[in-house]
Amino acid sequence: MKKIKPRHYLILLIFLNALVILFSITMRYRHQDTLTIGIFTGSNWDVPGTEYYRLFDEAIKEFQEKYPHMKVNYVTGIPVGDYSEWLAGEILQGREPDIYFVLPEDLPNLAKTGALENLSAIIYNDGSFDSDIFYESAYKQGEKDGIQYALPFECNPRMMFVNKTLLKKENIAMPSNQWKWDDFYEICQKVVKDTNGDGTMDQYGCTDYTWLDAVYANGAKPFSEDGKNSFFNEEKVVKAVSFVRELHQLHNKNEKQSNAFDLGKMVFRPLSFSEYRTYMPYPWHIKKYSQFQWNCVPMPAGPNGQNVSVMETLMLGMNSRTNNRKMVWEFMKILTTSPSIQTYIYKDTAGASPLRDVTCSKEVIELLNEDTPGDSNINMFLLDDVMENSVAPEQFAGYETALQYANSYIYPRLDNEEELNLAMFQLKNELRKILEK
Amino acid sequence: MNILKKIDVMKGSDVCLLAMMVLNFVIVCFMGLVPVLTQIRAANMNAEDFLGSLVSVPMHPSRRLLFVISIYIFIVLCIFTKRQYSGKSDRIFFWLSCYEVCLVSYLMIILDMSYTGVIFLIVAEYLSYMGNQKNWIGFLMATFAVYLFCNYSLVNIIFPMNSFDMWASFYGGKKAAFYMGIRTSCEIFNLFLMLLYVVLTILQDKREKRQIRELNNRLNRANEQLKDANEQLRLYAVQKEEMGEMKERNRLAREIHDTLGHILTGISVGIDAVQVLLDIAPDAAKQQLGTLGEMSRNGLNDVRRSVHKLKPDSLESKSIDYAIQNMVEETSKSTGAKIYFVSYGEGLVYEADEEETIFRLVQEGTTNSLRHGKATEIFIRLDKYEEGIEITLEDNGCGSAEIKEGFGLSHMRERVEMLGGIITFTSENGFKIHAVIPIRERKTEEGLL
Repeated sequence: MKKIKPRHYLILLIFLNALVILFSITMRYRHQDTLTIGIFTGSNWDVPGTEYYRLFDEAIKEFQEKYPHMKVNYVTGIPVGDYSEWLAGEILQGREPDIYFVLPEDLPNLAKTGALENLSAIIYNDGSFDSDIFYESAYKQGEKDGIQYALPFECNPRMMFVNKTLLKKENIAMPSNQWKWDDFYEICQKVVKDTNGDGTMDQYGCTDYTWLDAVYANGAKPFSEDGKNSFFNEEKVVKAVSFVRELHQLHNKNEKQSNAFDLGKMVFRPLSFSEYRTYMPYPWHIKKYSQFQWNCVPMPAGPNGQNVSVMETLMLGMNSRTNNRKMVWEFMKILTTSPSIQTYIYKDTAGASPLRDVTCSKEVIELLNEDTPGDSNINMFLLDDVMENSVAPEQFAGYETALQYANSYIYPRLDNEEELNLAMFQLKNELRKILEK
Repeated sequence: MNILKKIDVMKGSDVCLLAMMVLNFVIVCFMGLVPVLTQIRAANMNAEDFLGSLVSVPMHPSRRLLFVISIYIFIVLCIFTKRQYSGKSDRIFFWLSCYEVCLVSYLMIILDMSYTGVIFLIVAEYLSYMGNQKNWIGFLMATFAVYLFCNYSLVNIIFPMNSFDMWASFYGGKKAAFYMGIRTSCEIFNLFLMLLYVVLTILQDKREKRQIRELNNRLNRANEQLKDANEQLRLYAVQKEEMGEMKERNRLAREIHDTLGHILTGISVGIDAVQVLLDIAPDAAKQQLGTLGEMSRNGLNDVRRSVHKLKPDSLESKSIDYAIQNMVEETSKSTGAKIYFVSYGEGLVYEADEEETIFRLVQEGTTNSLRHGKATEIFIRLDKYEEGIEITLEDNGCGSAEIKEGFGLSHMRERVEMLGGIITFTSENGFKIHAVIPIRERKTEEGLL
């Protein structure tokens, strides 16, 4: 046998090392000219009729005009309900798409684990990108701890729907766009009554106006942004909850008014834009909302706040392990900032575009009014107004749990006369244990 | 015997190191495999919750496994390569060490700092290159410090990483405890091997020191013996000198007795006879006195020769060139002939017989030229010639038409041929003798350099 020399060891070591480095490099640059997108089918806002395929196909076309060598694939067939689980599974197995939908509730974990690329640095270095073209709260929703992790793709603001027919019947004027809780309460007080005299109430003021709506309307928020603290003992919050209790007690405590608005027997109901988009136009409006004329106003303002409404935003994020950041960023920009692509949000989905220019464009206003039946209408400047004044709910890991706990604590108390200051203080203390976990 | 013992201990620590390598391979595979399997399992159930419980996105499963195993193989290969280069090339050794540290750091990062026992493997390896015990303790302290700071909890503060407990907790309850238990056992076993290694190395060090001490003692003993031997030798030399002196004294006594004694005896006996004869036959006494005079002169010569034998003649010690020059001058003075002598043979060292031959050849040749050739000028020349000396003697005498080798010439030839030389006689314008004699020991001054 030939004697093994030291040199042979060294050569073997260097050779194997080079092999592994080469392998990693090829893995790193393997699919550089192919982007994958992770999307779901259906709508994030629980409404039927949303199709993303045309939008993405157009976006791919636009992208490939600019970069003809790039290929874009998207994963199809993942139902929206399974999306978060699917995405987490893909991330665990290291094969997540380069660009994917980020649900607001998923953002904290995706940001925390570093699955999402930090976009702040990319934005800082890209002179052509201007975040002011987005509605502020939509853009802010992609931010966590001061770092931008995702760009807004589709929004869903909450608005107050008003039954014009009922108001006219009761001789009440339409509330203005700057209306307050007092106006709100006054109108409700006037309309709540037993019209046929059978002893049970059959005409209502409002439903589904939650304590959360009231808290934001009163210029407060329930949780701190990092999710470590809650503000339930603050006066603004207590006032908001107290107002919701008053409103609740105005109606008969023991009656359920779930379909009263649909039947035209209720004046106010907060609805999301996506619900409006889905149910107001043909063919859905035949089933619902067909017996009355309606109008939209912003949410009422509390004494300490503005006409603010909650807006949820579906976002797009970049995979931090992508092989080609530059191309992913370019494609993300087309998806989120290209007006022609964002117009498809209004054409094919139930949501609203986070782009100011698109939401205010003539094309979109015409498109929306075309769909609206009869005298009912939605003023697009109102939509712009609502989105401009919207807030995004705080997003942190455990938000859902904390919110559910607060709901289960507050709802039973809406029916009684308990001292709210003390109750809210207790709630804050209870929540501290949950939030600190 | 000692060498055998040494190999035995070397083997102990080497086996320990090898066991550490194998154990670390098992641990590293285990630590790599648990997250990988968990990743794949969790992806199919509870992915969202599980991902939420992690603090960072886990590495691609198959890539993690590939990297963990290949990096570990590199580390082992590096250890073997270093062993080959230790003491041979310090530069390659240094770079390999740096490379090794990088590999270990990278391996620990890939394993999310959940297992840092690989540090002990390379610490053990480094210790095997460290002779000085002082360095050793400092080094051990330093590595323990590194080990302390390399634990998951501390690193996690700055760089969020998924701990092994997070992976294990996916399985919940007893299974999680089982996985964590395995890890702890492996770590303890690794630590134990490390300690065993250190103990074995210390033992080996001690043994080596003892051996060195023994060797030193033996060397000292040998030195003493050598000193004794030297002293004996010196005494012996002194003795030998004394013996030589004695021998010489004896020889002198014998010489005096043999020559001077013999002559003086003869003379004293002769003088007694002369005393008697002086009155009876004065003529006979006169003759006897002549004989005695001759005898005493002979005796004087004998004494001279003896003294000469005892104390080397200053003339005799001079070189042959000097002797010939002397002889030539004397001959020239007594005969009036012009004799020219040149010698280019300086530096040659002759044996006594060679010297004699050369001298006789010149002497006889000169005599012949003067006696038979009636020459008035004689040229004598000595030359170095290859391995010997060349002698040329020419005269302006009448020479001889036919060279008849008489007693003188044949004697010359005999002498030269006895030393393996060649001699020729020619007679053209005068008589010429040409001889070449090989010199046995041709030590020239150049040759000595």
